[in-house]
Amino acid sequence: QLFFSYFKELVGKEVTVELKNDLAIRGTLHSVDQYLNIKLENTRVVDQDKYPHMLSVRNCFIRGSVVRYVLLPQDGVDIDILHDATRREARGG
Amino acid sequence: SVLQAFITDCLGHATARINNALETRVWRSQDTKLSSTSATAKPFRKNPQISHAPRPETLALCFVPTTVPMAPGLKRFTDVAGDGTPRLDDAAGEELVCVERAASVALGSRAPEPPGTLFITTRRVIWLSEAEKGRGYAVGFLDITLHAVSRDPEAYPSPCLYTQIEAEADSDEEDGDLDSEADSDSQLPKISEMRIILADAAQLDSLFDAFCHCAELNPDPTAEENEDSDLFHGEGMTNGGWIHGDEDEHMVDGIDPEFFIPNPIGQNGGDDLSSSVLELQINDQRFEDAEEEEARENGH
Repeated sequence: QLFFSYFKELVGKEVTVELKNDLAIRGTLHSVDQYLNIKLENTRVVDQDKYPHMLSVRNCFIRGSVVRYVLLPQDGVDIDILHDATRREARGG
Repeated sequence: SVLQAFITDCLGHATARINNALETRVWRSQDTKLSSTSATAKPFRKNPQISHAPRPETLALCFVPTTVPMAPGLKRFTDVAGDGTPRLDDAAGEELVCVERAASVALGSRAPEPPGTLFITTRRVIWLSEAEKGRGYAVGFLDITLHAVSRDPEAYPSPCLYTQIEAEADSDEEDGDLDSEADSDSQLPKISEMRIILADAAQLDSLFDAFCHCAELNPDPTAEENEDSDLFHGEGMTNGGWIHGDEDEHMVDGIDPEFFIPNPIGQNGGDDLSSSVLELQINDQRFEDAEEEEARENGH
């Protein structure tokens, strides 16, 4: 549950989700669930060459299983929160 | 340390879910025997044991693949009942979630089909043509990797629900089988995008929500398995033993720390993990016993 807890902290931040099919989508993280399904708002495609007709959609739901990476903004990563979360997981594990 | 805890945590969850699914499956077979009516698909949901585990049907997918007969990716759908509605897999607990009349689908870069009816079930999306009876498509929510409401006219002329579909590599072979149906259009190429156009564009947001809801109902059953497989079926690991090969002296400890985790972990961590692997194997045997019990009951 570490990643789930961590991503909940990122809600409201701009992230770029890179899918296993190489599609990269940028948007504001709206919500995430325990399967790491991701809902983004104000999404736009980063690499428009591959999927040019998916230019911009208001809301987007991405299946957790198809996510390869979630790229985080530099200033959006709170190292302290991450440390606390991993410490909690380590204690509970 | 942290990663070790995370791995152990994942295993704990996976083991618990498998345990839940197995117990529930045995319980279900007994319940089916007691009640003689055919409406026995529902008991699963009332079992308090599975209140927060993924639905047992989804875990059943990895152990008994024939439970929900779904081909990967978008496929032609022809299993239509007399009243024109699709036949659902009641035995697996598939239920209708919503129906959208006057819905059209556009596969890939093709033009939209003439309007038909869209059936959203707890398992999949089915579209049946109104004009051409017997023409339809279906795709499981497991294969819908992404969906979004598209209202940008530059992206697509009409507002629609844009979806991406994961098609397996061997789906081309299955298309070869479809050739035997004497249909010139039978060769359905790998469809990776599907747009759903509704007569009433205002319904797109609630359709988006329905897709979200159903996607959450269908978590990937192989995701957790793959996590475990990646951890335990590495080069140095076999089901039989930990030590592999006389050549590589690094593996004398039984666990290859290079493969596992960058930093070596203490012995205790390794022991916990190995016992968790044994637990998983035991669960497999338990599951086989359950099937035998079912067979015996059917014999009565």
